[in-house]
Amino acid sequence: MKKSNLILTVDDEKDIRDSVKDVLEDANFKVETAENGKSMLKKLEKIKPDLILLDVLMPGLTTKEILTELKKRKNKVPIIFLTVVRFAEATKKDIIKGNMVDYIEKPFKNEDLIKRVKKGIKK
Amino acid sequence: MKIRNKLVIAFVIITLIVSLISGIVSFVYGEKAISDRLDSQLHSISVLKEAQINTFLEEKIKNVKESIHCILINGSKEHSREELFKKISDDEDITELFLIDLNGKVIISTDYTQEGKLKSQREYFIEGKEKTTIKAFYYALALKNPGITIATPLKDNNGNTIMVIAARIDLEKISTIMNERSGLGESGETYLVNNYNYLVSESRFIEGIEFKKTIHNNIIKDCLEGKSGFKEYHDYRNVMVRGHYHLLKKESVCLLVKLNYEEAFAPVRKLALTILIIELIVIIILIFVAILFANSIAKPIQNLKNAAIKVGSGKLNTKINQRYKDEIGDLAKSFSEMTENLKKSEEKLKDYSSNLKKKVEERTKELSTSKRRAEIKAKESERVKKASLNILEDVEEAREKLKQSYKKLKELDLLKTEFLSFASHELRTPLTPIETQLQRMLKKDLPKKERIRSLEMILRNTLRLDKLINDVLEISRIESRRMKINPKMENPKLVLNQVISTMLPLIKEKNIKIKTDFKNVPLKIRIDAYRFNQVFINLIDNAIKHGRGSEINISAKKQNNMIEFCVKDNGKGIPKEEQTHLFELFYVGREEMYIHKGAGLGLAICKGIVEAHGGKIWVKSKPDQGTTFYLTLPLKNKIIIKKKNKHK
Repeated sequence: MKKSNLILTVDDEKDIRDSVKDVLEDANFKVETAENGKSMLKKLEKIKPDLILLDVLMPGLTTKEILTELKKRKNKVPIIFLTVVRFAEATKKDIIKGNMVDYIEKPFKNEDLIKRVKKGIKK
Repeated sequence: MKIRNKLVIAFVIITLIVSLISGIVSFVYGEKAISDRLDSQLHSISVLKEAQINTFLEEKIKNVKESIHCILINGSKEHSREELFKKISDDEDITELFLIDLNGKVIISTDYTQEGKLKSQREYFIEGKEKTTIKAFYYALALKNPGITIATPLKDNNGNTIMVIAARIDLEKISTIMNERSGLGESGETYLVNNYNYLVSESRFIEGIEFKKTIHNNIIKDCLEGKSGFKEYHDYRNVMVRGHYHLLKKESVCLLVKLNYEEAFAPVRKLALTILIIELIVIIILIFVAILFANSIAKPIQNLKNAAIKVGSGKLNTKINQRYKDEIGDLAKSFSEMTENLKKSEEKLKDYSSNLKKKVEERTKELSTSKRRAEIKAKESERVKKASLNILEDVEEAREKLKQSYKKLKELDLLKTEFLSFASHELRTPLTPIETQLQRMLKKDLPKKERIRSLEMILRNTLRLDKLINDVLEISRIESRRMKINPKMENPKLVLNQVISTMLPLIKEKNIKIKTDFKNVPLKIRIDAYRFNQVFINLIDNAIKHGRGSEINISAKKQNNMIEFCVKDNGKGIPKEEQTHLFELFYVGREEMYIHKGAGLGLAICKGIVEAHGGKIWVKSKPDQGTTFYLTLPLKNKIIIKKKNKHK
């Protein structure tokens, strides 16, 4: 079996964080977690995840601030956004740029999450 | 101005100009011709007179020379005198004949008194020694008569002058010559003026002025200087004349031939008059022709104009004379065509206007009918107007109400939007772990430990959803004023302690001290205990989560007719701008939104419950000094008193 990919999942809701971790670990991913932007950036100093699952709405740093920070650090890790907000398809296309590679709406189908994460890593 | 008059004036002006020019030209040429003829006449007379005088004088000189010849033949004195006398008697023009020796002494003279007198200073003697000389027209004192003296030298065989022979000649013959006036008309005259400016010939007009009157003018001056010519001038009588002047050189005397200006230029005046008369006749004829010509041009135009006026005034049947075969004829033709067209148009117009008239009449009838109707309507509308004013006031009122309703609706709409966004977030968040865990459990058999963890997670989030749904329902009841409270007499102290005990695990978890002060509290108050719990759970929960202080004080006391509760924390306080919105539905402070994922329902529900009890809720807070929520409920509630009485 090939080496499993490392996923960093960032969400302020512990239950969501844990659930995501459960699903990904079921699919043989290694999973690290962080509860906000600040701790995520701190974690990134130690680990090099293959992909980040990032909650769009969190206390502390805003999504925009997080992306700016990553750009500053020249970290090009692919990011999939997790959000409860529903966007139109056209808007999604506009949003997806830079580190951001995909966009998953909560609640999600476990299969779909795994498929998208795999796809995101390949990119 | 009429075109005919214009034409006549133009013709007359042209005629006058032409006539004037031709008249002036013919007059100028005529005058010149007449003047030239006069001048040539004057000149020829002058030449004739000069010739006559010269011939006369030459004849006298010849006679004098003949007498010398006699003297040469017969040498004696007596004989000589005899010869001289003989000569004088032969020639009646010679009044005296005498001989002068070289010393100037008169030797022999036909006038004895003159013999022996000295003439050595006389010009005629001095000049006469050399050649034949004529001294004319001077007043000789010796003769007491004016006259001419001729002197000629008497020479010997060797050619030497031995004597001078002189003769005095009477002027009568000259006067005769001068007075002869053939070709000089009525006022013509010839006369002589000598170099002393004396008039030396007889005057036709004034008797006896010869050798007495001197004439000084430019003509005489020029003439004595040797010039000759024609001129108009004032003569010695001061009469305007035209004359010729010429110097007779041998005699040193001016010959003047002149004619009175008036007479001289009489033909010119006559000519002018003739020309004038001819001109007048020509002008009259030309004007007459001009009038005829102008008429021939103007009349057709006039006719056309008159026709146009008639047509213009509506007489379209006017006939137009088209016999002229020039441009005017063409115009007349066009005009008559135009008239024909006009006639046709007029007929059409007549038809049209009669139709129009009928229509107008019909409409007028209709109008008068509708006017009556309109009057009735106006009265009606006056009544309606008054009624309308009343309605207007009502409408104004209604509009105001509508405005308010609209404002409310707008607020509601905003609320709806806010609710949707709230629902999407608040409902989906707990749904996510529920769905995820359920999917996992459906997919495979989880180990027992993990299964329990999953189920707990599901339960927790289900409860969260349940609470949320309850809150939403509560709010909807509050908002639609359908909230039902079930008030009973309760011991507030007891109720509050129950709340605190429910919250204790959370309080302990956060390491917070909790203090209570229920000293001055009524034993029973009329409240819905369940709702009352809700309020205080919310307030204490907020104090723990948001205050984040180290202490929470809960107190209750009676104050006048009220019971006042306080929930106080010593946390970081609430910014002033957030305080005013705190009790609004869905209002979530920025920090709370991120940290505690509040739904913005809790305080709105609290407010709804308190108000349903007839009480009030408010907040006091200062940043970093903690927050206090105040809550008052009325005590002297009618119901409360009644129930109290019943209890007793």
